Amino acid sequence: MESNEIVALIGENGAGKSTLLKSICGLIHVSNGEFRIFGKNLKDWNRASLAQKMAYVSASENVQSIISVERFIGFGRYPYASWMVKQTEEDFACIEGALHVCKIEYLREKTMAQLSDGERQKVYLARAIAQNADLIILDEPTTHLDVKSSNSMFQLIQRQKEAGRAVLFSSHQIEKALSIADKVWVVDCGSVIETTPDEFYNNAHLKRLIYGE
Amino acid sequence: MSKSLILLFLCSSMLLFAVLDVFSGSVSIPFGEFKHWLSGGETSDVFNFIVVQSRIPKALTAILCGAALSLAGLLMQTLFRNPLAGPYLLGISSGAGLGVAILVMGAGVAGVSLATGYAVNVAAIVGALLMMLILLAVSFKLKDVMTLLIFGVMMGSIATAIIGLIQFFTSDFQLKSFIIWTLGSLSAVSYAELTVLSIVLIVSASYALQHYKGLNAVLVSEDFAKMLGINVLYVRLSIVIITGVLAGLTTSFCGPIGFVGIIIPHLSRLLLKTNDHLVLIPVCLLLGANVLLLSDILAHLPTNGISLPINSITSIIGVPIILWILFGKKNLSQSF
Repeated sequence: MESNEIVALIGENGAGKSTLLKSICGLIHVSNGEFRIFGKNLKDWNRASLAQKMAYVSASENVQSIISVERFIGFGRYPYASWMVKQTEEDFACIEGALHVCKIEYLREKTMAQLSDGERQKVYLARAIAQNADLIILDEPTTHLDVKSSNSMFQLIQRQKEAGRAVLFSSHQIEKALSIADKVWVVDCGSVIETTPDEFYNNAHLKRLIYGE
Repeated sequence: MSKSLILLFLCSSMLLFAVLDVFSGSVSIPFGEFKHWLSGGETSDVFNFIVVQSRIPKALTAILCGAALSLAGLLMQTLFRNPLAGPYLLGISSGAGLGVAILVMGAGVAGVSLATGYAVNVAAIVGALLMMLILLAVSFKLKDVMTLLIFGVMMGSIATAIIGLIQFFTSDFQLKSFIIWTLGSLSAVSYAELTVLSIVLIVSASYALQHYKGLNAVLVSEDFAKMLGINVLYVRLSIVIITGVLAGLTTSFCGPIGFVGIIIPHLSRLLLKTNDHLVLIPVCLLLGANVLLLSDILAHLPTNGISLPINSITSIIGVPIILWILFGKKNLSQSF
């Protein structure tokens, strides 16, 4: 991946999209091969400094906790402060910025348990944005979302490019995902084929992989 | 109610309950003599024995044990992300119980009476620590917290089963002294033991407070915490050690005291309406101290010289609260 690039990860259920994303994050032990992140082998990264570079939102994340949206987004600032330090001006600015970008200022005081699926997904993204990482990895950010919410989710992803971030996300909403992506990674039987949205539509083999016969 | 107001309220109610606890009991204490003692004056031997040697340490025990059990419960609920976790679920108290059972009833078989203060403490601490060491060793191997939880429950069952076997082959007299220990008691904790407990509690509480961010993140999920750069293994190990030591110490000094470890974290969350450990930890400590002091005052309400077993009181207070939480909310994890 290049910096400032949006990559859509597509493939059948069970093709290994989530596994690939988790491996990139170092959450799954990889027996063969290595990942190079920002030019450095994943294994050589110290987790605290990696957290300042890379943010991840899991597909299985379901926070129903009684913690306010503002505090939860503040979790994104943890990599920047040692344990007991209070939030700095910069932390507050990042949290405000993330709330503003995602247009969820009105949720600030609500608890995570009170949100709808669409709102919750936006809060997850806002948390990742507050982490101020160069690379944001989103595992199926639009699952469970209605058409309106998933449209605004795709817009938010696209807007990350303007902020100078790279986004790698998986999705089953192929047309919308491809419309905002610079590159497409098609996962098939343990291998990843890199292509562009235009080439994808012209490639009968890849289209058959995704759409079926 | 703002958070600092809640803290202030809990602090003052703790002081009030502590004073009430000192004055409650079969012998009434004249307030004038208490004031005289506070200002450093000479007091009678009877006053010395009752207040200085018995009631003040008992009130301090209630404060420290209540706080320690609540902190242990909160940390375990966070680690296992399970609203029903408590210091007893990991089998730590059963381990302590097994240690005491072996001592009390084993000594009976050998024909010697070892069932005195210090020996019981040592047996309970050894039992609890052994259980904790087993869990610690296993937690390196078992990566999944739920498996660790089930392992803890299984170990607790084994300890209870062995206690049952020992009880079966033991004399009535030894059995009675063991049963009395299992009822729990806040009296008979010496100043030396209180010093140990307060040092351990202060160290554990400040450690937990320093790592509140790790605890907040681990509560979401271990992967989530890892991606925020938190050393999850380190947090998990330290939680196991802290809860093991806190639960082991309190159990050895006071016997198993039920429900405090489970209900106090829930009450604190309901009170604060947040899961943020930065405020949850101090409130939990204070609320635990309050509730155990109140339980002890209730235990001494019968005025004819007897005091009720503290474990029964905490259970009688605790069970309705758990049921109220369960029925009041459709789902306990919503308050979690």
